[in-house]
Amino acid sequence: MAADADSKLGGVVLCRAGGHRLAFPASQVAVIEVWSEGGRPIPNAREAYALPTQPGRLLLSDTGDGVVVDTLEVATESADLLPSPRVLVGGAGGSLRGFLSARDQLWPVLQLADFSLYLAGLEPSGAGR
Amino acid sequence: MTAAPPSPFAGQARWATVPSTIGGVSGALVAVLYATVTLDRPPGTNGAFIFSVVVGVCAAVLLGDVLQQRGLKALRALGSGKSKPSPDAVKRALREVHKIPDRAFWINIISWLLGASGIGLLYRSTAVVPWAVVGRLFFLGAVLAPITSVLTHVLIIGRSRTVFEKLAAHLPLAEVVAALPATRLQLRARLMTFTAISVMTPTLFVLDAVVFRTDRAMARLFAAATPELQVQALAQGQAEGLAAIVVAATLVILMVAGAGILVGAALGEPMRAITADARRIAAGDLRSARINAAEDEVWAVASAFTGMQAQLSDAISQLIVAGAAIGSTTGELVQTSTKHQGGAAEQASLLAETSATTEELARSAKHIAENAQSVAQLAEQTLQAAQGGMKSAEAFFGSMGRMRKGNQAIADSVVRLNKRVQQIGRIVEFINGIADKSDLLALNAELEGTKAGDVGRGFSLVAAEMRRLAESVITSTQEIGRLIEEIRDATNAAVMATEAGVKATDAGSALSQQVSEKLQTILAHANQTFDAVRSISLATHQQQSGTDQLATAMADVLSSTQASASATQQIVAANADLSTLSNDLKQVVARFSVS
Repeated sequence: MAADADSKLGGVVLCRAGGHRLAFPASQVAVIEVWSEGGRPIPNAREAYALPTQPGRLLLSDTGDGVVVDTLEVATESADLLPSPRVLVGGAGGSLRGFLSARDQLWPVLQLADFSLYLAGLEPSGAGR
Repeated sequence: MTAAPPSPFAGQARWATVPSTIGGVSGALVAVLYATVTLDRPPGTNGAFIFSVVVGVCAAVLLGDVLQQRGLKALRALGSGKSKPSPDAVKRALREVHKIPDRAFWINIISWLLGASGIGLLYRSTAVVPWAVVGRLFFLGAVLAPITSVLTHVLIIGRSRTVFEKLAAHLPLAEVVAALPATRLQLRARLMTFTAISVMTPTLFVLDAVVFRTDRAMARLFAAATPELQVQALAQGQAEGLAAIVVAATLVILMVAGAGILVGAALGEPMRAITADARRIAAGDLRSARINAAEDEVWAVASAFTGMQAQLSDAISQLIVAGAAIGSTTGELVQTSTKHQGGAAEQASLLAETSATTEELARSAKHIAENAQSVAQLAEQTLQAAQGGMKSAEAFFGSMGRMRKGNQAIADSVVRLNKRVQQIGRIVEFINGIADKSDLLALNAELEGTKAGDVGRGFSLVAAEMRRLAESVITSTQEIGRLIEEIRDATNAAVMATEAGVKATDAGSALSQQVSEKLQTILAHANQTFDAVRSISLATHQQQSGTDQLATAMADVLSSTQASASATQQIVAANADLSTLSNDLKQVVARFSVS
């Protein structure tokens, strides 16, 4: 289990890729941009679900890592980070930090850079790579 | 070289005028006898008197003969052989001979007057003779000249007729008649002249004798100095010269009576000849038509009778020939008309059938004409329908043109609308891009506000609200984009529809053009059909009229043929009668003998 400081998220970016939900801590997102087909090669969250890539929003971290999602919204409310079961810690390249409940739904919270790396390590499956 | 045969007219001129010399000499003897008795010649002048008489009589006779022979030039030429007996020469001789009696009459009078005058003058020139003696000689010549001329005339007439008939034998009778047209009808004047001469001559002689004896007695009476001598002178006057005067007067009366007898004979002889010819013709003898010489009205009768005889002879000859021909023809006519009678009946039967057929033909022609009239009306209606169709096609063609223009205008409007929609789409895309950027900015702002914690919460809320607005804008623009797509699809469909409409109107116009052309062709054909049908109708009408006339004509022909058949029967009967008449005609003309 993570420490208490780490169990409280000040804000998250709620994303969707296909029909799947993703959430990234707002603090890890430096800027949100628009990504379209033919743009620079950025890992696409749809690849994690073996879905074909499509234009969407690009979440860039301070380190320059980024992930493309279909849609996103910012949840400004502070939310509790639910710890991830141990069996899932290693999932997604170790980028899964836990879960949170927002909009009456449960969202997996991922490390943006890790997840970007994780996606970059996957077999290419779409035009986003 | 053999001598030419003598002319049949040789010596005829002299022979014809010999009676003139005889008459003249006879008259001269009577005159000399009377003059010897009644003329108081001076003593011792008997020789001069006889000499004067002989010379004067001979000169007068010679003059008369010369003048008469000059009037017979053509006859003398024929007699001497100087002229050939051509028809013209014979005609001239005929005219001369026909005139010679009258010519001799006047020549004789002239000769007598000249002779008496010559005797008186010669007597006075040879002896001392008073003019009274010369005057008495001229008086005696003037008194005896007419009766002597009449005597000469009637003597010459007989011979001139003989010569005339000889000449006429050398010409056809018609030419003889034509050569002497009966224009001078002087019988009445001739008889009056003869009567006057016959009355006046003895009267003048008696008067002269009485005057002469009275003068002589009165002279002796005045010369007697005593009554006894006067009685003796009267007795001498009564006895002196009475016998000679009586003899002379008797001779004059005999001359007058002889002249009268001869005149009667001369007038009656042609009439007797004509009567004999008429009896001969009445007996049926027409073989010897001849000319009877005559003068004046008698010549007119003789020439007319001769012409009539010739015409009758010709007519009888033709009648005989015609009778034979009529008999033959009548027999053939009887046979032919008998055959024709059967043929006419058959023809009438055939014509009756033909007339019935013609009437049937007329009814058919009338039916055809009615049908042709109906067809003509139908053709006219077809023509009117084609003309109406033509107008409708032209109207339809105009409508198609206007429709094509309307479709083209719609297509243009739709194209313009599509362009506007594209412009709107580009504007919406622009707005959408702005909204997207606004959404992105709002997201980033909201993100920044969130990352700022509680401080940035309000900012995040504003940013979130702006992001929702931007998303609403995006949603709206997406909706507008979808609507624009629908409009674009609709406009594309409208463009295609209008293009299809234009094509359809083009095809419709082409079809209407084709329909118009076809209708024009139909109209032309309908016109031709109408004209043809009208011509046919007219022709059938004329045919109907013609067949009606034909039927009427056939009915007339049938009626005529039936009448002809009836007439043929009558002709057969008439031919039988004609044959009988022909036989009668043969029997009648057989009574006449023609050359």
